[in-house]
Parts: sequence; structure tokens; C-alpha cells
Amino acid sequence: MHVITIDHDLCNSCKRCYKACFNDVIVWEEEFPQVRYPQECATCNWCELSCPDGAVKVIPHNPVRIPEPYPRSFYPLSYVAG
Amino acid sequence: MASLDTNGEVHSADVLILGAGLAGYIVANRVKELNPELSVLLVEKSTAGWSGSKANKGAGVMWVMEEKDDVGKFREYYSAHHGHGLEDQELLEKVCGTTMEMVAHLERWGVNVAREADGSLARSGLLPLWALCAFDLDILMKLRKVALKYGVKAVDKTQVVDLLTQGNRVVGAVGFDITNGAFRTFKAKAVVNATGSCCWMVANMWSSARGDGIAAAWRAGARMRNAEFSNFYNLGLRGNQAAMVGSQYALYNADNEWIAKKYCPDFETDVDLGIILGMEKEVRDGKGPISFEETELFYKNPLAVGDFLFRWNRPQAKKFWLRLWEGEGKYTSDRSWRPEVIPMFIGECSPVMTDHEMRSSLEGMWALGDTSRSGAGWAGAVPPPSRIRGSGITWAAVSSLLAEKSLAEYAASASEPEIDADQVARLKEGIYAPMAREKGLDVRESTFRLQEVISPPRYSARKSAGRIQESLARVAEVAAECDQVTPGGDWHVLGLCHDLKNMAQCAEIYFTSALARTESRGWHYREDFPKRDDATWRKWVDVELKDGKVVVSATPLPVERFKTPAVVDPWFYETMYEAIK
Repeated sequence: MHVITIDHDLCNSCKRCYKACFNDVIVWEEEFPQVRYPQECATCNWCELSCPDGAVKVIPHNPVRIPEPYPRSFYPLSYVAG
Repeated sequence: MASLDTNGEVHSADVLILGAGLAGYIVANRVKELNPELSVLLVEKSTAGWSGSKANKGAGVMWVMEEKDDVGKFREYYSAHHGHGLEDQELLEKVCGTTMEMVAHLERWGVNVAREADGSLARSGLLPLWALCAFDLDILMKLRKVALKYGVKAVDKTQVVDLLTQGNRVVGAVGFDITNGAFRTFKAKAVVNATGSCCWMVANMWSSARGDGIAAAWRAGARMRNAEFSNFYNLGLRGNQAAMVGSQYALYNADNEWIAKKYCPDFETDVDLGIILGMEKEVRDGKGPISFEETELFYKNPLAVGDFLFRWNRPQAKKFWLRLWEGEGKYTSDRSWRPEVIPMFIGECSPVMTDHEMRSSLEGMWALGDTSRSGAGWAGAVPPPSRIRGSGITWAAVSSLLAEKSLAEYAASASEPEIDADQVARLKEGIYAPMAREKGLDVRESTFRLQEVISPPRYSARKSAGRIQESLARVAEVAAECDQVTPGGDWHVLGLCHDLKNMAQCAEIYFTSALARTESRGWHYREDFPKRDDATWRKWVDVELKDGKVVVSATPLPVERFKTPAVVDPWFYETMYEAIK
């Protein structure tokens, strides 16, 4: 799962990262942004790019989970196991 | 009898716009310019000005037909190689003729559109028949600023779930706040459905396109068209889904054979189904994996020739792309020499049927942008972006401009809508029903099961009746899981539960349409019907929900009004079809 970190010591509570996230990964609680749903992160980086104080970092953790296009069960000669 | 007042907040407007992406903002601004007296309200699932699936996280390009471009030649080329005879040529010409109007409005509103020193629009090379023009990725912020000046209102963080109807007329919508669960009712004389396409959350950058508006329109009885073309694949790196646009000419199989020679023509303006089917065949024949020679990427790539995208002063785009590439390089598992490339499913289900002014089959509802890209009919036998990069942006804008007049006139003259409080109460109960389940299935796992049916090439590229029926059965299984998933008391996850239902319905629309088209054409390849059949199938497949049942019909194209006869490209239908067998 991708990791998004927010340094609350650097954060000025401008809400830009919260607004920038189109997948509701970042929620707003107690005057600060909180990373609540990283499962939905698209790693577009707009939260990080929008932060004027460098408080937000997006760290993609790949590979992401997607359905296998060529599983061995349907492609006997596939190079992919499973 | 239920009362509207006891059902949470009620918002009223003359024009209600679902989705504050590019289409939503352009039509909002144009309606206010045409009639400042009309009240306009945008409802957005994330934050208005920041959302939209392409405008602020794409390449920042748009398709334009300038006066010097020959629309007749373009139409002939498009019909033969993109629309495959299934395009509405009248609307296609109308779209072409509106693109410069789009540029004029955008620049008037302060959008930075790239121009040469002599003032002409900057065009990408290798595209002789149309222009690919660059703009900066702060486009929505510019449009938002104009909207605020005009008095356009916006309600953020609100997931619209269902439409409100008065007979066959759409008179509003209901939804909930994804941050605190508050129920909201929206009442309007006219409704614009601009929530975008359904990409089933497979490709991460398209993951906000979940078919909300399409499925809501489906449940309300709207007719869908051309949904069998909901199967767009890009080429992407395995592992991080980085799109490798133009890489079809840089792919090698395990025998180090350059595979474009078999599956691609000498030049193509954008990725076509041939390379997707070809890659799948190579793996089937034991010649996988398919790898990518990075040094050859820019060969014949219209997006990259002459550093097209980055020779303009586009601060937002530069910031966005440099950071994206830095992330890919630093954290991605596979950026080695010749990394593996796979067919990267995107989807782009966009079937809400419209007329040439973007009116849907439901009175009072217009459908714009990626909500109606296939359904409007002009694109033909190809999913968005119709093998014309930048046309998603253009269609969002142009469809808004095609809709503006009829929309503003209707909103100014329509009778006051009557909201059925019992309907609101019933829909409200449905919205919150999953919250009552203390235990149940994990909605993210159910979503993955749906993605497993949609995205593999064996279901969405190489189709057959048997596999489509298998897909429909599996989609039905996932749809049944919608009554078993639990949000665990979380409003965000409640949203995912509704997304699952919407995406399952979009999948049903897609596969039902694919089963009906018993021929092969453009991006619809049927192994069991491997011939294009113009005599039978110069028709659009239409589907709609009537009394709870899916009804399929076929509507002949008005070919007698078209200027270009259908042309069958022998390379596509003979050479390529032979190669992918």
C-alpha cells in the first residue's frame, strides 16, 4: 500500500492537501489533515505538490495489486505462475 | 407520507450540475453568461476546482480543428481508422466545428493555451489532420475563479447516489456527505450529469471515474448507447501502472522479435486494439513477457516528437510530471533495462445516450463529457479517447458548448419541479442500508473481484459469447455481494459500497452490449464473429432498464445523411486479424 506522510509540525492547516485529494485519502480532523484511506491513493502527488510548507510526502509502494492479465490457468504457456 | 423537511438539507437551483470537473465548470460558466438570472449549483464528490479525472492530472493537451484543417479529409480518415463506420458523422463535424470556440472561451477565462511566437496555436508534429494543443494543468482553478465571480455555488464532498424523477423528467438528486454522512436532497429545473466515465478503479490515475452518474441515470431509465466500446487499454509498466503512451513501436517478445511489425500499421496516431490482441497472442504462444526498449519510445509518438509537451511554459504541468517521474524512478520496482509492459486496462465506459445538444433520453437531464462520450455516437467503434489524445478534454468542453443553449432555455422556462418526498425517503433508506450491517464482505475485495472480470484481455479485448456470458454471470455474483458488503460504520467506505454497485451496473451494461454485437468492428473483437458486418451492423446497440429488466435494441445509423461512405481498412480487418489468430 502506498504511504503518505504529513509532518504536523510543518503543517499550517491550509487544507490544500485535503482539497487536492480526489480520492478522499486525506480527511480533515482537529484542525489537521490526517491520512485515513491510503488504499485509494492514486499516487498523483497533488497533495504533496499543493503543500506550501513541504509537509506532505507521497511514497509509492509498488507493485500495486491489479488482476493478472495472463494467468497460467488460462494461458498454459504463460510466463506468469498461478 | 414522508416529509422532505425531515430528510436533511435541501438545496435548490435552476441548474444542478453533478460533477465539478471540466465539463461541469464550463457549462456552469456558460449558463451564467447566457442567463445570469439562473441559479447554478455544482455538486462534487471531492472538492470543486480540484477534481475531474483528466483536466488536472493528464498530459495537458486538447484536440483542436483549426480553420486551416480539412474537416472532410479528417472525417474520411476518422471513419476508416477510428470510428470504423459507426460514427455519427453529423455530430462529428459539429464537434470539429466547435473546437475553436472552445479555445476562445478558455483563453477568455484566463486558461494558458500554448501558442507559437506568431500567435498561432502550438501543434504537435506527426498529426497532419488535426492539432494537438497544450494547456496548463491549473485549468480548473481558472474556471473556478470565473464561476465564483458569476455566483456559481458548489457543494463539496457529496456523493450523489440517485436521481429524483417526476414521471420521465429528472428533477434533482440525492446523496450524502462522505465526511459525516449528512443526507442531501437537490432540487432543480434542469440537471446536468457530468460525473465522468466508469474505469472500474483499475488504473490508479483514473480511479475517481466510477460511473456514479451513469449508473444513477441507468436506474432512472436513461438509454445507453455504444457501451460495448468501454474497453480502452493503454500500455503500461507491470507493477506501477505507468502509462507508456506510444510504446507499441518499442515492444519485443521473449525471442527478441520486434512485434509492432505484426500488429501495428506503419504509423498510427495512438494505440489500437491490434497491439493489445497481439501481446495477448504472444503470451498465449509462449513468447512472453513483452518488454519495452526505452530508447525507442519516442519513435513515431505524436505526443513526444520535438519535446512537444515540455517546450511550453506550463509551470503546473511541469511540476506534476517531473514529480510523477521522480516517484516512478525512485520507488518503482521495475524500471530496469527493458521493463515488462502489459495491456493496462482503463475502460472509459461512457454510454449515456444523447442527441446533438446533449439531451439524454430523460427529460430535463443533459449528459456531458465522459458521461456521454460513447453514448453521443460521434466517436463510433472506439472507446475514449477515440485514439485522439486530448479529445477527452475537448469533448468535455465541446459537449458543454453544444448543450448550453438548450439547457439555459429549458431551465428558464421549465415548470417548478415537484419532489416526491416518498421517493426521497425510499432512496435515503437505500443509501444508508449498508450501514446497518455490522458484519459482511470487504467492499475492496468485492471490487477486486469485479476488476478481475473486467480488465483481463481475455474478457475485454478477445471476446466471445462464452466468455461474455461468463463475465455477465460473474458480474451478477459481484452485484449480489452489494447486499453483503459492510462499511463498518465508515462514510468513506459507504461511498465505496455505492461505487461497487455502480461499477457492477456499468459492467452489466458493457457486457450486455458486447454480447448483442455479433460482429467484429474497431475495438470490439469477437473471436466467434471475426468479420465486420456492415449489412447487419451499421447500427448502435442501445440498452435500457424497463420494469427492472434490461432491454436491448439496435438503432440504424442515419447513413443517408452522412458524407463519407463506410470504408473497410484491409490492414485492420485482414492483415491484423490474421496475425492475432
